[in-house]
Amino acid sequence: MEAILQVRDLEKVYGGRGSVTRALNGVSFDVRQGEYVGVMGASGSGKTTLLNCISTIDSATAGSIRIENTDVTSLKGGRLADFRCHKLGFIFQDYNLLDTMTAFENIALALTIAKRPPGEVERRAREVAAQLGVEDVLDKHPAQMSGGQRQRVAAARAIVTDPALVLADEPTGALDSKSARALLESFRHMVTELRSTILMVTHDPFSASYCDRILFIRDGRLFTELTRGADGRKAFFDKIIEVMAVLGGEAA
Amino acid sequence: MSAFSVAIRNVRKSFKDYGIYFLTVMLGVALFYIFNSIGSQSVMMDLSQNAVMSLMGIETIMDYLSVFVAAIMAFLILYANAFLIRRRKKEMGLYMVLGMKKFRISSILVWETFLVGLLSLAVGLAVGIFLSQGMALVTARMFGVSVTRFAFAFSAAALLKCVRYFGLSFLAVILFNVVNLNRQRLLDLLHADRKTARVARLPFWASVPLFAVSAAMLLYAYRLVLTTGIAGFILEGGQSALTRAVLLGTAGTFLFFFSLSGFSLKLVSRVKGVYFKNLNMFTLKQLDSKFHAAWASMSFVCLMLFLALSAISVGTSLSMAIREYSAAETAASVAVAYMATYIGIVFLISCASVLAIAQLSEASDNQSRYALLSKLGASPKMLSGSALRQILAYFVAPLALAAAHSLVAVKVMGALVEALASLNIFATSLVTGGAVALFYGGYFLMTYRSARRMALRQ
Ligand SMILES: Nc1ncnc2c1ncn2[C@@H]1O[C@H](COP(=O)(O)OP(=O)(O)OP(=O)(O)O)[C@@H](O)[C@H]1O
Ligand SMILES: [Mg+2]
Repeated sequence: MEAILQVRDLEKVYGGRGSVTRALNGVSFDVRQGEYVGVMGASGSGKTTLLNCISTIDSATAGSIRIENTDVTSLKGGRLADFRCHKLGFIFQDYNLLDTMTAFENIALALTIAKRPPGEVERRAREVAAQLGVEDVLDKHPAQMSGGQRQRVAAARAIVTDPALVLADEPTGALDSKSARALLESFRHMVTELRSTILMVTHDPFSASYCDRILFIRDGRLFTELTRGADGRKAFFDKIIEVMAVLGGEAA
Repeated sequence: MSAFSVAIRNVRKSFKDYGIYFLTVMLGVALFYIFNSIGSQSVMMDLSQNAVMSLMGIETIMDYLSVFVAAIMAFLILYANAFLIRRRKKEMGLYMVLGMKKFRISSILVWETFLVGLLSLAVGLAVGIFLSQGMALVTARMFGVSVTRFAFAFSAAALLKCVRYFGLSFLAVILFNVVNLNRQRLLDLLHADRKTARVARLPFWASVPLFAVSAAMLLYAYRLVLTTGIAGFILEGGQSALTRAVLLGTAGTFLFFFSLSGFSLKLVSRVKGVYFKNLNMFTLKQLDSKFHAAWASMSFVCLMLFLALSAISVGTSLSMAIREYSAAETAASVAVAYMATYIGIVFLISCASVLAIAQLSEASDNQSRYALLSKLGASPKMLSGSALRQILAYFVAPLALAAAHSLVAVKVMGALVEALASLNIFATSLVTGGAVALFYGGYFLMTYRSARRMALRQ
């Protein structure tokens, strides 16, 4: 199948004049339509930097990033904004919902920013909320929801515009294990039923075991990758633990 | 680095943040100087002994008035300062984490206040001295004399007064900052931007009838004023009608803004084509919560604006009329005109700065929200459009109601003016209104530009 995301020789250098950090040092990989890909690696290995470059929040120093055949490294201003709201969905570790708005409005906002016809906003927002099991909290404000509910609302917001690629940076980081499991099931549902494509950064081997494929990053380079294939979740989990042991104890 | 050089660097770095503060103090100083230097302007004119005496009389009145005006200015400076400090709490928290002593942070702050104060005082004085030359021409015209020779007018007394009163205000600011800083806990400083105030809401079903009541109160007050007329108020028993009208008008204004936020969002949100378009949902929510939290200060600003508008237009027209009616009353008319204009402009500056500062602190609180919207794909154009709509609504709402109030006041006072002389008060008011709009619009633009900068800075 065709690659939705193509990353080639990606480099990112922070700083200058003496204190230079090579956060990414030549990373290349592809993500295909409908794939659920995890990114793992030790703290400081460059995971967030990679995600920020792909999500156009940060700019790459060298290399190319193509999403649905658009080179995102050259986008600016209004075209960059257009690209973000039509092609990308974001899920952040700390939810990042607008506290002045209800869950429904937070989800609807992504549609109105993408300039969808006002008539279809309500129907579409409710439809996606139902798919992620948050239709009961639609009238609540973020402060009145549990962490897990908030994150599923954020996930609904991320996929409501049918983006080409959903980017998630440690989405389970602030959740207890039960809410984390519910969220991961939702992601699985997004991939298998709704044909979403997800790239997810995580520290946690349990979360990673829900993915189809894991990219392991070390010192700004792709160290190895692991494909689930026909394995069950438990078997895949064990393989992830093995690679983490090779990577070094601090990988988790 | 010494505290002084850190302060210089900070002022330079955040010069744009200091913009509104600087503008307010500068305008205040200039105005203060101009109106307190009226006596010295006589050097330019061949005024009669009589006129010089009356100018001296005006100066005495200005002396008293100045205490009042200085108090207003001190309040404004403190208000603007509080905004600046709030914006910088986190930075100060960081200084502390890095192990800087509170004393040293205080001294940096003291120097910063001192520097910005000194700069705005100096610029304000320069502007004031420059504009007072033009003011002398206006004065000459009011006394009906021609200017025969140009002499540079400068009032050392007015300058000293400015330095004294504004110096005192800065001292108050410095004291306020030092005390405030020492009371703060480190944790509060670091998390200064994490607050969510929730105010209880007026339910929809209650707000609509309340709004109707407020409209009825205002209309009744207008009618009362218009039917009684200026002659009626002077007559026996007229005062009670006036008192009733003022009370009704004031209460009606407060109720108007109180009830407005209860239903306007609900109404607009029913119109899906508007509500679900671009950032409208976000903009309306922001406005709603702001109007809801600040209805009292908005009503207050509206009433002050009303006073400013009518003081300036009625004051100038009235004095012109008196002068035409009897040349002997010239001195009195000039005094009336000066005081009305002076107070009017002071109120106007106060309102505009209070609105500007409130909006800027709002915009700075909203920075993280704008950052999120931008990540979700809102274009820079959408973001600045949202900021524009919020600030526009905030500036226009109190002005619109104040203009309606003023229209009624001007209509009533117009009868008096027209009885005295063949003068159309509406023409004068139109000129006044234009000048006010220009000034108010300037403040609005400046606020919008700063807010947009904050919205787009990520
Ligand atoms: N804005 C920045 N300026 C300078 N250096 C940076 C910046 N952001 C990240 N770095 C550096 O780049 C490297 C990679 O950081 P990154 O945040 O991508 O790590 P990470 O893999 O996400 O780590 P973690 O698991 O702790 O979140 C680190 O050495 C970090 O110090
Ligand atoms: Mg990270």
